[in-house]
Amino acid sequence: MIRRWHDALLIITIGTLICMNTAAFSYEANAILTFEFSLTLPDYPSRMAWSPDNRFLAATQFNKGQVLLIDVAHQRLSDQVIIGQMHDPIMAWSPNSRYIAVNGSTSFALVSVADWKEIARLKSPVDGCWFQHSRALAFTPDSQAVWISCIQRGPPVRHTAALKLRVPTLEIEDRLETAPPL
Amino acid sequence: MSDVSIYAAADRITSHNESLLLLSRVSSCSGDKHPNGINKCVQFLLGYDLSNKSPLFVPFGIKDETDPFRIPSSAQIAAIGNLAVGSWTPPTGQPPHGPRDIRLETYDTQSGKRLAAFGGPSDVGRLAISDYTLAANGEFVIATLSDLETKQGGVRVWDARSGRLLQSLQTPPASFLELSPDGTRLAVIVLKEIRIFRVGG
Repeated sequence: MIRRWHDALLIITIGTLICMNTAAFSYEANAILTFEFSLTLPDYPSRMAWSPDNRFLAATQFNKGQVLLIDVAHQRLSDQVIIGQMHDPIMAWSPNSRYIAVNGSTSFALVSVADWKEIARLKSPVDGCWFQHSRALAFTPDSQAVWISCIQRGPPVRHTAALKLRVPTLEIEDRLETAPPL
Repeated sequence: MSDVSIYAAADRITSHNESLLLLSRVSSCSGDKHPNGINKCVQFLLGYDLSNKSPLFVPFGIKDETDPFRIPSSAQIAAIGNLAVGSWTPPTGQPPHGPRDIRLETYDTQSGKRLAAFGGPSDVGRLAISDYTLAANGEFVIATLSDLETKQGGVRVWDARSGRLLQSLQTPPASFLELSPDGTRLAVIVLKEIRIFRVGG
């Protein structure tokens, strides 16, 4: 599934800007974490999202609409693409690899991975619920909907904690309400 | 305590097999105010399986024994649903640019009991926790650390139930981290670098 979108990408070579480091770091006996490699990017990365097959890592950069795609299997930066201009957005990849959801807190967008086109966008608040700048953002296992957390302001009774939005229209399909225990 | 407001927040959705688990932090706040204007709140942790919106456990409240105005600023639940971790930010009355007293606490979600506290200044010195995540099996907590003044940082791994430090790596200031969906790799942002680690143990 990954191959399909990867082949369709507009590839921009920026290899000279990237520094890969596989120098040995200190290892510990029975270590849980073992250093594998590092990439130095042209600008400060801010947020990351793994592809569902664990092969690619998407990274946003501060104050840019750019997303850098790291081919983890080959330890290199493969592509960079432009998605909707948002400040420091949080991303989530759909399990079928067709979409990336982008949460910029003031707005939320669905991006098609095949051509990196934005196909739907919602501005916060939605139905009185304000998106949070958090990682509480995930597609359902069938990729047919995406959950995003939000905060509902107003009189305290029950509050919407998350919205389930239909893919790709982003219509509200369901909501999760919370209230403190009595 | 008469409630004057409720604030609900969620920090991360955890996926596990066909389930999505969400840990909601719901604060119930009274009119009691700290001199700096912060309301006195009680925070509850509520866990849900988003596939059917069913609760995962009986909600329980968590509080700081020494500062009633201090509440967790974020929380996550392990993929298997039986363990949660919360981060506690600097207590009230602390100067905004003073020492960064951030710590992590883990809870058994079935009993509501606190299991361990770690990652505070006594553990990490001048460094402060930037980000953290729970291993899918809930066995350990991984955190990134930073101190921008000294340009020091690191990555720490703690046993989630005992709080025992399992691994400590020195790095420049480290910010966000993400575990791969299969839990075998960890990506860490270290200034302009992305460092990839294999996760074993």
